[in-house]
Amino acid sequence: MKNVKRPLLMNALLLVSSFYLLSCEKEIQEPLISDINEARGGGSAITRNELRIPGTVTPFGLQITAAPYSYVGGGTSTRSLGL
Amino acid sequence: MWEGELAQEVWAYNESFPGPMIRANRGETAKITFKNNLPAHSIIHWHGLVVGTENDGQPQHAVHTGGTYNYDFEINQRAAFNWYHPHPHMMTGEQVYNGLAGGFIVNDSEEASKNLPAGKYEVPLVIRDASFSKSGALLYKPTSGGFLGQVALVNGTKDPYLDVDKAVYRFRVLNGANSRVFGLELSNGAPMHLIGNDGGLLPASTDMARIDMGNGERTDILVDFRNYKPGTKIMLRDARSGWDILEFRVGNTQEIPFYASLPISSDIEKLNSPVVTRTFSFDGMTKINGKVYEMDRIDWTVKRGQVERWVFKTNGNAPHPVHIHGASFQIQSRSGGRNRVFAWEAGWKDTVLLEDRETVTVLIRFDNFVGRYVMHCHKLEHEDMGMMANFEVVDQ
Repeated sequence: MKNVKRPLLMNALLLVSSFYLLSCEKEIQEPLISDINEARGGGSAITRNELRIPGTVTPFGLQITAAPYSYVGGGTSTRSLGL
Repeated sequence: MWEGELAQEVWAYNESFPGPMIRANRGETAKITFKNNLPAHSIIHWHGLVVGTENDGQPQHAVHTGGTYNYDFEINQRAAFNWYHPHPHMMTGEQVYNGLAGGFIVNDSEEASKNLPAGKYEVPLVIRDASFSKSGALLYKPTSGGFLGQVALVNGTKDPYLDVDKAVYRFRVLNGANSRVFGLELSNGAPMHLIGNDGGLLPASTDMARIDMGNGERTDILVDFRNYKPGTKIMLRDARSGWDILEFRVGNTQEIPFYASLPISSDIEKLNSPVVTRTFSFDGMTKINGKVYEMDRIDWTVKRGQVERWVFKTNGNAPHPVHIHGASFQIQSRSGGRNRVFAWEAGWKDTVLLEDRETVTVLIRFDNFVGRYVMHCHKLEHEDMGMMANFEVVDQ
């Protein structure tokens, strides 16, 4: 009898474990899928931002400064980024 | 999405993300001072502009925080959409990703004679990808295989739209992503009329349903919105990722006249009779011909004025967009992989996409300057890990 019961118990445990793992996988996958949909911009919920066109300069006596630059959340600069 | 949350910080040229569009005419002289206020060393490379070594912005020219570098060069090349970006050794990927890139348009009389759309009907599109934290901060987590972001940005704008008139528009497109290759197409299947690439106008323009762009490559396309009803929305899409990149919204306007006559053609000298053949194997993710880049090592010399055949191969880990400084080249063949040369690869190029199992052959001639230049993979994470080499152009 013991030899029969052990596999049954193990099978039950495996079944429960499988359901648990599947539910975990679902929890992990759902946010990723929504991220992808959002990234693709295909959903109607997407709020689109006006394309920014960089300003034009000439290279005659031009200084180009590279520096960290902050776009403050909610401010004009942030909207120009589309964020 | 992140309204009212933390400040969003980028690294920018002149507080603009992407950097300001530089525009000049052939024959004019550029005098530009680069000021480095980054917390890292940096230098600007003029991608596509053929200039002397000291003006090329190579890794050995990088200046430290607070430093400056002066450029002074004549623009002596045909009209094209070039661009500029950092080129410090081992840090290019991070700096470009953080926002340091901009376009550099050269105009000339040949291009002007074509009556192409101009003003508001000529629009630069700097396309790239990025990942953000929930607070809106750019996230850069490169791997040896490159970096692929989670969203597309066009001119720094996420989920952008562009209101268009009933007109033909000229879009100058740059793939400014670190590693992502784009396959551009229109959502309604309409053709994009391809007129140019890295090196300016093509020998003959043509309609394309899809255009693939490796990192650093440019395409110049016309899109005709004259026959759409007001309110029509058309998406510029990336066929590779499925992303919608840019939504065009057709307005209720008068039809704008289009003065160019299609196809657009351009006389381009055809290179031939190479006297030297060199083969370069882009190995793994860090080496060219088995060597990792060393700033002080010159790996080969080239005679000025001589046509050479350069053969690019890869053992894997592609795509490897191969970029050469100091001269443009012409693509002769591609075998293996996609097994063809595409319409957007005609004419002059400075970057060519090498996919897995492909062998690409180009002809190149260094006419203008003697001096030291680099060739590298423009997947910027590969470049940073050493898939780059110095060579020297010498007089015969």
